[in-house]
Amino acid sequence: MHGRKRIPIGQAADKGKDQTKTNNLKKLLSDFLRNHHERCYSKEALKQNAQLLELNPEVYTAWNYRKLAVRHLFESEIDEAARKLILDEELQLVERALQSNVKSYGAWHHRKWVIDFGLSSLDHEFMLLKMLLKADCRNFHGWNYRRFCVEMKGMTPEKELEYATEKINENFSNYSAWHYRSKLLSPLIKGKENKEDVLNEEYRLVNQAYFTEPDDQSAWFYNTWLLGETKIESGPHVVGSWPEDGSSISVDAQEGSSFVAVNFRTPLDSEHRFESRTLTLVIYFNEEFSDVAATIRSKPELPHLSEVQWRSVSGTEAPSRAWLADIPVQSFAETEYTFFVEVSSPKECQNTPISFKLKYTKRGTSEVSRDQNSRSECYSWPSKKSSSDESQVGMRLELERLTVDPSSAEPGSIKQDPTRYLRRDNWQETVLEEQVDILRELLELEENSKWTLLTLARVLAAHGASRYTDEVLKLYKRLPDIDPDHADYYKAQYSILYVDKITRSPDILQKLWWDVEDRLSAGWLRWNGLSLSDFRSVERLLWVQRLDLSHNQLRTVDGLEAMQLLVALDVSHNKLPNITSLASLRLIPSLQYLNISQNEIGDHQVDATRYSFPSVLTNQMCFSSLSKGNVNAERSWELQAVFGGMNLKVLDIAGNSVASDEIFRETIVRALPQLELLDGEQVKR
Amino acid sequence: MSVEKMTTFQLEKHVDYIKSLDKKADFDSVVMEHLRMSGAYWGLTAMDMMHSLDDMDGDEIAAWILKCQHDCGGFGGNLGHDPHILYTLNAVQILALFDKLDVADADKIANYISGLQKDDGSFAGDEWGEIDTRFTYAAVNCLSILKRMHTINVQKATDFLVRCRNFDGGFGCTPGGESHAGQIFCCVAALAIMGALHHVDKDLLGWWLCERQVKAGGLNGRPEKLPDVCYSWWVLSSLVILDRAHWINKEKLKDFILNCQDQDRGGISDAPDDAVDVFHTFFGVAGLSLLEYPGIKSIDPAYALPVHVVDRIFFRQKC
Ligand SMILES: [Zn+2]
Repeated sequence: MHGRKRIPIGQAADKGKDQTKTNNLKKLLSDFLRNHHERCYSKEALKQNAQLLELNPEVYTAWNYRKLAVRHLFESEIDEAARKLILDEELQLVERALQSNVKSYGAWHHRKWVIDFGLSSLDHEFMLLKMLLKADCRNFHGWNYRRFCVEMKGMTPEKELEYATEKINENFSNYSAWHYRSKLLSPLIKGKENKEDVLNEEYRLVNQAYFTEPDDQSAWFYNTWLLGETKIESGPHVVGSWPEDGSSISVDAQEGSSFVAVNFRTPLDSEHRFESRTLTLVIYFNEEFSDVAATIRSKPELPHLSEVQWRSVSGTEAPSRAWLADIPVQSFAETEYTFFVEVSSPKECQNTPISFKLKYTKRGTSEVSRDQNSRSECYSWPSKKSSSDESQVGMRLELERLTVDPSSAEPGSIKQDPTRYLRRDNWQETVLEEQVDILRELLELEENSKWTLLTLARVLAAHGASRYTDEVLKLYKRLPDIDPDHADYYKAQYSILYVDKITRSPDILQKLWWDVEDRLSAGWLRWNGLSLSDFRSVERLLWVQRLDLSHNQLRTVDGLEAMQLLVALDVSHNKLPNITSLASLRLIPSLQYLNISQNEIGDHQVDATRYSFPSVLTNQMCFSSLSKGNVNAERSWELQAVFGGMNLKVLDIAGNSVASDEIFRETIVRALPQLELLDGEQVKR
Repeated sequence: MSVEKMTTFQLEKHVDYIKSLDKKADFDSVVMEHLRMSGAYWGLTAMDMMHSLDDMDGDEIAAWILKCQHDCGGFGGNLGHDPHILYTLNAVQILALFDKLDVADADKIANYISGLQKDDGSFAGDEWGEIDTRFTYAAVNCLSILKRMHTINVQKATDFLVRCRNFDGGFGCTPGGESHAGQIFCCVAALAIMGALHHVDKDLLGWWLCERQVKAGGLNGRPEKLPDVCYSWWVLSSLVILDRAHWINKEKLKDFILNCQDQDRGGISDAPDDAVDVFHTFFGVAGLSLLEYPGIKSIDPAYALPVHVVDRIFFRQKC
């Protein structure tokens, strides 16, 4: 029931009149159902049925009955003109039914069903639609029906575009018409030449709309779409890899074991070491792909390299940006190799081979035992030099004053000109500059318009020039004050852009470096207390082994799974709401130390990340593969789904409301067979 | 909206309101007669969220549900009404609520639903061929509950939903149809159940959905429309599935829903001071559940059943 006023207490409705109406409807309903079951399609029965549908077009079975009746009548009527008369009656009834409820799905479908016979005049339908969309220009049934008739009549998109323009000019806040435009134009802007003309015209139209209806959402949403189509694009290409292009690594293998230690230089000029059983290569694309192939060659040549398969980091068929390949170490001989990795599929991927040098040494058992000692240090964090809140705030402010130098190379990514893939041309520059000017002009009229400010931020970001980064950050910082209801949206945008900025600049990244004397533990990335609520840019961090994200506002660690070298992760003091928000970590086999203490795990009855990873709920996993032991399945499925198969040795969960739950702790211990320390205490098994 | 109104949740009054519906014989109940199955689903799920399902006679309801089943396997909206995919879903949902899924022949129901899938992956609502993404949701939800997903072509079902995606990241009834929060819920929830959420642009759609909140706190279903309690469910459940529910002002939404209660006679309406109905009562309670209102059981945003029911279906038995 929509838009009907509540009757105040004591003021009863007219009982007598109501009763007659009710009895009448009841009788029509029961008479129709009887006729339906007896397959009685007499004139009288059809008349009663029509009365019912006029009063209540939502009785779907009553429309079904009419379709059966039409079929029945057609049996004895092969003459086309006579059949048309039968159908005309149906069309007239639909019109009367729509008068009582214009949103009746059943009535609209009945009309389509009748028109589908091809005996009725479509001109009449267009005339009706004109009236209907004049009375209610947003009626989506009407628009859907119009699309149906347009297809039936074989009308051109150009002609329909005229109609959409007419409707928008009548009323700039007709979102339905803007939507229709986007549908009609999508196929037309595929070719480059057409695209520029078409988009120029569309920008002209939205600009007009801003000035006429500045507070209406329609044109602003439309602009966001135009912007996506205008964006200075780069074709698919590799944006990050491990090992990096041009880097050198050394691999030490323990004799008689598959144990391998790898040394490499990080982009920030420090030595890194990690221990693994295989050498896993990572390539990271700017787009998601569901299938990737890349050839791996080496000099001198190694056997079996051609057999190496690439797999997406998620291990599912879903498209992914991060792809992995495991190189068999046992075939190496003691020597130096140069590797070349070249993407062969997807074909449109522009790339030059990623090349890196690898020095291989085989060590005796005695030499490796020293390594075993340092292994435990992998997951013990160095003491934080300055952990007081005050100094963190200080550092944050200092960071914000730093600006990005566009000429600086990108750390952690392939050492190539970052703009080399940009297909920048004059048209795009001009369009975006024009938009910037128009939006600034609008801001002069109304300086606190959220739509103008947000769109300006997006246009500047779409431009892609780093000189705008700080202005965009400022805009996102300002928007929560103007539109506090959506503050978290703007904060997320700010956070994403901020991380993008700091990962592009070695100067800034250097300041977020773990400041310790121990050479071995140098190169731990510390991003605590930065108010981060979201971030991407993982492609520039593939080499990171230890990451401190504590004291931020993160609700998920999605995306981190591409960091396949990660050994230790501190996400304490964040806003992680539940166990499933950690799901991506199960894809990092190297992870040994995890601190999720002081989050909100157990505080929330709503689990918003329940569907973001393959599980029995998403029909991608059979429960029997999760269920082990006698743990209550209904309570522990998420623990098993997330932690089962992880190699954690140290886990901190204190300060979450679930942490005091004994069953929870027991299930965790069971799910993590290698766990040694839980909240600092030795695990007893 | 009068300011002096108490804005607490009137649990007992809503429970009494829902209980009273079955005995009603007024004009509105005759108007809703053909969708009694949906009415029962809305009312009973709300009762469960309000810890009062035990007040209802599960055996009697299950017997009535089975009487609404046709030889083809599908269920009608009431006795004597034709089978339809929407009521088939509701029938299965109610049986799940009462933990009585075993009284129905799952293969027969699955056979009816899989028979409605078209070559392009879409689903018809019934034998008369109306196509709508709502029916894809009904099919996918129902078959997942019955553990019969293998009876349909999941890849094609996904592809069809992707064809219904729009410039704003939302989804419509059919390819070309305008984005609408109700359809968005159907498509997002169906993709979630099929493990295909990667087809959704979470940031773009999340932003569009969070812009459904109007200044007064309520949510609308499309740009420049009025807020309505039913969108507390359609929009909010989609935002929860996309993990973007924090992008709206939850306090304001909670107040909007509470202000749509009939404080005296129970029930929730579409807008403050409008006439209440079971549909909006369910969506209001479900919205409050997603807002973690104390004392209301948690509802699953995709299956539209209480979480404990969904967990019971998937984690109690082996598949
Ligand atoms: Zn409503």
